[in-house]
Amino acid sequence: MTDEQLDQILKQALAPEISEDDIQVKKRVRKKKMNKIVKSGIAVAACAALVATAGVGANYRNIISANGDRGADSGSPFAITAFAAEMEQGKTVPVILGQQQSWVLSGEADENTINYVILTDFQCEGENIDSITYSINQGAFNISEIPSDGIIMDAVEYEGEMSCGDIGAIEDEEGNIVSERRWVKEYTVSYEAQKNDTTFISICGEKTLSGPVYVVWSGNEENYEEEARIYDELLEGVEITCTAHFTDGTSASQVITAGGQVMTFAEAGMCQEGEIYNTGESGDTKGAFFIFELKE
Amino acid sequence: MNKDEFEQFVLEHGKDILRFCRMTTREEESGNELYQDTMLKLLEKQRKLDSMQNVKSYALSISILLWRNKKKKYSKRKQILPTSSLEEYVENHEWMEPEDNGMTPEQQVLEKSQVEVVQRLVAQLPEKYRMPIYLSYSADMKLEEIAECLQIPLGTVKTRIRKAKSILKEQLEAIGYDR
Repeated sequence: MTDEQLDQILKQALAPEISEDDIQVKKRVRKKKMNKIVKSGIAVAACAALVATAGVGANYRNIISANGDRGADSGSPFAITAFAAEMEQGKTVPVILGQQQSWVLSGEADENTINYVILTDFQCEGENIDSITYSINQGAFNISEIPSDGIIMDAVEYEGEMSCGDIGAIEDEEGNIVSERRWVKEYTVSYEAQKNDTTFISICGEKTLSGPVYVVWSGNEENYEEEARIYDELLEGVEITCTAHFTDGTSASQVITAGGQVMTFAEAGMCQEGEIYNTGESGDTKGAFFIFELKE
Repeated sequence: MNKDEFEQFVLEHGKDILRFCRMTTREEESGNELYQDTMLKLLEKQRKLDSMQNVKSYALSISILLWRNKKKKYSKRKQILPTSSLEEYVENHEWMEPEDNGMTPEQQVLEKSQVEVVQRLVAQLPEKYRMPIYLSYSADMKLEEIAECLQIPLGTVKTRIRKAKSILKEQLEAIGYDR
């Protein structure tokens, strides 16, 4: 057999015809596992305004010395806000319930595994910051943004599979991508464009808990203590590292942890004139909240 | 790379990539799945693709990475020929029954199953020889592109393809392909 004959045989065998239809890319959305129970945190309409008005970024200035050196003091050279509340050591910041779903939990009624997707709303403030990188040690970030209007400069994809947080493209009737969703372990945004109205970043993951989780699905608001404990266990060990990259090439990091906590809606900042927004209920009403806080 | 450019890329190179995926997984459905996963990964990185000199090579390297990571998933139906030898394969297939067409069973093998037999022999090659062959013949890649895709020196690509062809030639001749 000559080399030419072998070449011909291989071409014939290894290069079969492919139809045009077969190469169409199906921008499918990988559906998450169908769970029997889904519970979400969505609430009062006025909360968006609350998120937009809170103050930010006073503390970081206090820890920059007169000559501009950073990091010499015990604090960090930049401040982080979550849901527009400045994060400080020892102070928890609740995940505010807004017009969009702030969190979604799902799971099987007879199992102790919970899948979670919890909205984040982190922003950094400081001087001479060029960009900010967020990384997560458990689960992933679930990012949803419009490709033409995105803020994510760079990202490290999450390679595993999870049953939480949809990924893939959402198209309108004309086939235009209106949202692209993905899992990432790390992402970077520029300081100048840390957020916009169309980009949503959540943390997501799944965990099998030590005890029964029916309390989460029960809908009984009186179970908030146990519910918060379950939230805490669900997010135990989750650490989000926020690294600010400065224009002089240096960087500094802070670590954010997540958990659950009982607090009143007034403490969570979801009240106006003593009442929970749009409900008429007392702001002293207690509930279980997802929280973020700085790691000490 | 914008949406139109991506679609153009699919039109130009989609067939090569899909053919490579099908050959690698050794099964059409799994190959289609690997192709779709590859393209979805590529879509996720769409905005970074402008700066890449050879997107096709990059896409194929994604396919290889996905296939290696999820070999179990993609190879669940991979056995195109479940038997261990050509003789056994021939004996077990109905179409090998003698027909009244004047052809010997051996000729029928050569006529009717040449493609499958060659595919099977290539599939049995060690991965380091198999991949360059698929990239060359199924994905229509040049030797330099194969080196880039597999991240190995050009000389190594040439050696592996030469060795692969030598093995295939020997095996094909052994079953009568030179006659």
